[in-house]
Amino acid sequence: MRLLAVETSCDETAAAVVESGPRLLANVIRSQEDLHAPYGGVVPELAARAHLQALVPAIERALALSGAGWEAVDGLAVTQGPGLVGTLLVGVHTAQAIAWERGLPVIGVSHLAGHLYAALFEHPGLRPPALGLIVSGGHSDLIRWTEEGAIEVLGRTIDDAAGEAFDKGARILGLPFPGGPAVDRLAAQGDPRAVDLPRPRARGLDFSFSGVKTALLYEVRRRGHLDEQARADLSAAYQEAIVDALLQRVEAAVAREPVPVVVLGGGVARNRRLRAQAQARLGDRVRVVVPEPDLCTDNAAMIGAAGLIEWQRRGPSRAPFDADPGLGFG
Amino acid sequence: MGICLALDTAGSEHALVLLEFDRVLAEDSWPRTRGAGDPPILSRVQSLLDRAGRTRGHLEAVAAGRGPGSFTGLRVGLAIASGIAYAGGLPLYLVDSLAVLRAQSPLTGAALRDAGRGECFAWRPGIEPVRVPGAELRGWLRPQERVIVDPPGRLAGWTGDPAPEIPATERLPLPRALAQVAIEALRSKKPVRYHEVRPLYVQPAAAEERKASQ
Repeated sequence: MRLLAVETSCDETAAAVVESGPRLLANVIRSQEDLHAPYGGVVPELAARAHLQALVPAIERALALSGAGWEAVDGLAVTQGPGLVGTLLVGVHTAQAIAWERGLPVIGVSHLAGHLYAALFEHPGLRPPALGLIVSGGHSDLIRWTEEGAIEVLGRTIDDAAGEAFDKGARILGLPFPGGPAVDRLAAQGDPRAVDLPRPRARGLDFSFSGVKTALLYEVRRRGHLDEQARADLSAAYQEAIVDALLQRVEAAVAREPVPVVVLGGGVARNRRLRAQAQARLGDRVRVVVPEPDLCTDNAAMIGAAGLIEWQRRGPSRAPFDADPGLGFG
Repeated sequence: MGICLALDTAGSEHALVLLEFDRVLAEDSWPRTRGAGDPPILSRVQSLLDRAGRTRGHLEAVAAGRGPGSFTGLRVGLAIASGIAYAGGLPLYLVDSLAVLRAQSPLTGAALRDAGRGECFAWRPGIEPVRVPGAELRGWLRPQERVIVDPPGRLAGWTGDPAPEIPATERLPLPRALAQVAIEALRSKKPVRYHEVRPLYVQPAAAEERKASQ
């Protein structure tokens, strides 16, 4: 089966062609990073406007790169949610209009589930049960992928998402948007032990990042001027606090519910310290699977992978359907 | 051009029309605020084709209102229009939604559409659409000028004088006005490329306005 997949949940306009396996035949991502950088964060209205212009050209490009035309496409998969309602609308309606015109079935899938299934491209043999840590600018979820193929949420953030915490921390440190990559780069030159930031705490397997963000703010205010080394040290300490908090919860979940595999996904899973520490802290107990960096950030390949799996489980969606900005894991 | 699907989702009323050359084959309109059981646009497009005894394979062109108007309405309408046009390999034409509004009466001088925040989008032939604060609208209108307002009845709230507004009962149905403007566009305009599918926003995003004022 071959699917054309579309993703517009936030600030990446993406289209991909995938086939059963899953195998990735084409993956096109049009980033809006430059558009939003002057605002220090994603502006939903600007994002929606940009998607409208960029989406069909991205789809055209993905189909061309896949080396086959419409006759080889069996259906479409599109992010139905969660995400920004204005941006989701563009993808959901464009995809359904294309499907209608071509007489093809279409399936709406969860963006969050897509982050989990992105790992299947490099690890096609991956099967549940597994634990997943899905961390991005909008979400921080610890999940269990059950034997039946369902996704259960074990813990989630009670305030900021991990990616949001990176962005806000970067702003406090005077680093550019997007903050996650900026902190990652600078932290490599810093000493995480140079300053002692509190470890975020929440009940059970939930996350909380507002405390460490506030601690960073007070530390920066206390110091007044920051030279480059101080900025690097604070970046390293802040990153360490977030990574440590995330992995503490994963370790607790592994102890509570032994599984053979832990999957990392979402834009924050690009963070080099998180990737390395996940392997170092969990690798002796479970297999740690992390998609390649370009499949961690928002992309349509993962929506295609989710589409293939969900198609097997429940078949195509009953079209027309609406965007669902509050959708969970589907 | 044979069969053309035209839609405009910019205003308080949305319109769809199926044209065969200069002839209206089928039409539909509905209020922007969709009820729970109301069919979505693609279902309405399919119904239109069914009523006209045509299939999607008969479509040869798509025309869509580019605004100004509701950001969400435009986004949905243009996404659907460009999706159909792209997938069918059909030319896509953009039409001005205030021209569609104005075409509802031959007596109309200017077309006005509520832009929110006490302002309106205003247009008359020969100028670009502008955003006018309601309090300044009286000065923008020409003496004796008749206007079409969306939603109907809103003029009195802006100027205190309802007289220039052409009543809803004296207007051509919106799909018929859309048909007129679409037929003209098919004759005189060039189709757009997909990266040119951009609503006529007239008003910047709120974040852009805030940044500009800093």
